[in-house]
Amino acid sequence: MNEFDSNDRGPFSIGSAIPAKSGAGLKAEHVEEILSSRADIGFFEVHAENYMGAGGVPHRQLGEIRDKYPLSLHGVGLSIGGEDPLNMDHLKRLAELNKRYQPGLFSEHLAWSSHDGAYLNDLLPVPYDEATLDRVCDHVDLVQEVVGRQMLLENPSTYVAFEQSTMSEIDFIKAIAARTGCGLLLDVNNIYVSATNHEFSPEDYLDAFPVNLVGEVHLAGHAPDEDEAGRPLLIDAHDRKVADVVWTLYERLIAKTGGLPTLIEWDDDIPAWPILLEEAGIAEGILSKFQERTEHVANA
Amino acid sequence: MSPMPDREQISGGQSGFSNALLDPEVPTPSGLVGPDGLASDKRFSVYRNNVMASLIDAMGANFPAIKRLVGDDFFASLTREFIVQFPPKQPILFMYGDGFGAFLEEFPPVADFPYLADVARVEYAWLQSYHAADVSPLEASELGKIAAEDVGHAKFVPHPSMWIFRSIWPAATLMDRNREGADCSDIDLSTGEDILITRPVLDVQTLILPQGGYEFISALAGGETLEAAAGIAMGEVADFDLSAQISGMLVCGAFCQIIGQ
Repeated sequence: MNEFDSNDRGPFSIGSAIPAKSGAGLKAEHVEEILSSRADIGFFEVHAENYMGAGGVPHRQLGEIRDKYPLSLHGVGLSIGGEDPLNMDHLKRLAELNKRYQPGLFSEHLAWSSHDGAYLNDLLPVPYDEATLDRVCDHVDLVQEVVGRQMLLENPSTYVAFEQSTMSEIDFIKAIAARTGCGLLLDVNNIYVSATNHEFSPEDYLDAFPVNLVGEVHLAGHAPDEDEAGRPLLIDAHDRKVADVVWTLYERLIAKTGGLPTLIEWDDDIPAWPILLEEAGIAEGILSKFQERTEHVANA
Repeated sequence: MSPMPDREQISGGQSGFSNALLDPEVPTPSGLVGPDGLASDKRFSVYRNNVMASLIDAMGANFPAIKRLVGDDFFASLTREFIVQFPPKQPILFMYGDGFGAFLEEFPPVADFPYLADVARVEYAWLQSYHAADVSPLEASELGKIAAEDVGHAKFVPHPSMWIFRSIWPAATLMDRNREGADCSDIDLSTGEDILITRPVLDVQTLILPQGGYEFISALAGGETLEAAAGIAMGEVADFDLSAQISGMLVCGAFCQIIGQ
């Protein structure tokens, strides 16, 4: 299945492999400053759907970035959790982008976003039951077959739970990984958001998560709200700095795993580039604390 | 025996979920709960808000001139109506909004602003041009390679980024001025515009064609020979300046290849 070689440079100056360093979500408005300042950062991640046009400025920018930095390709619209069959045109476009830009990592979400011909542009939740598990596994198998490489599946942030669920989110995710061979993308902010919204312990979730399968970490900011009973309700807004509690959880993760590629996502109310770079620097500081251990693990 | 599926099947699953996302009149689907095990409209409304707000944002990014022309609040309410009737069909959001022009034409609350539809059409074409394939535009030297007696029979392949449109409104000027945030009070709404959009390299160009240009370039884009296209244009405009039009269409990158002899 894995035709992909992580050292493959394609037409670019540097290889694909993503280091255990921090990276940032790429925004068009930052590209010029990133290139002119030769920003010191481990990698960039892009939303695949923004580069599904035929040509023009987006591809010019992404080619220039990819020539200088490793790239992670993150899909937000495939609807892997959907009841409908996967959109094959969309899946082929993802395969083409993988081929064109040789990203070191490729990921999508445990969520659905399309139904009955409509694309809803949100990451919607799925029930954790056997029927859904079968469907998601079929979809992940198909993705990995068409794209020709392993994908990472990201844990969701959710605002409601399904009465029909028969297993925990972690058991559901573990079963997908076991059956499909996919890797996992662990979004630490999503853990905190879901833990708050569903009143479970984020530390317990993190400690039970199969971190040996994690190929990448996401961090982002969330917005506080409350439900009609006055309970805290956190929104996965990606519109501000990472919360202190999420940094603490992240450090707990890295202390356990050693270094992992770590992405700062900031998709709304996008700040000036130096502020995003500063957030990535905080992650880098935590990563470097455990760097010795990473090297030890890597050499073992 | 009854052909009726059970109620749970009708209301449940992703059909029920997605119907409720787009229609505020549909109640929160059953079976979705908060930590107390009870249904919560507020929790479900996070999804409703995410869907609607993100799609209104996407429309605002695609149609910035329309947004400025009608104002943020009115733009939100009219795009909400568009989104409910015509949700995106696929996940590439820069392709969302094909049909917004036709929608605005029929949408009664904007009946007093009939130029909006054409401005939306120009904005959508601008965006598709921005994302069109990278193809080198035709160079003047290519035309020079054709023997003089064959030039009249030459046909031209439209560049993938080109789009041509005749508006009875000054739709291109309205788009450009509003995108720049400029004053629009001096725009004469009684002046129509023949509009050509091209993107020779990376920058999209919006051109207002001189008389005869629309007929000439449309005919070429439709597969007519240079001679036939010039004839059509001269039928419209007695003093049609053929050589100026040819160099104009070459400079602006409307075509990318010459075919035939």
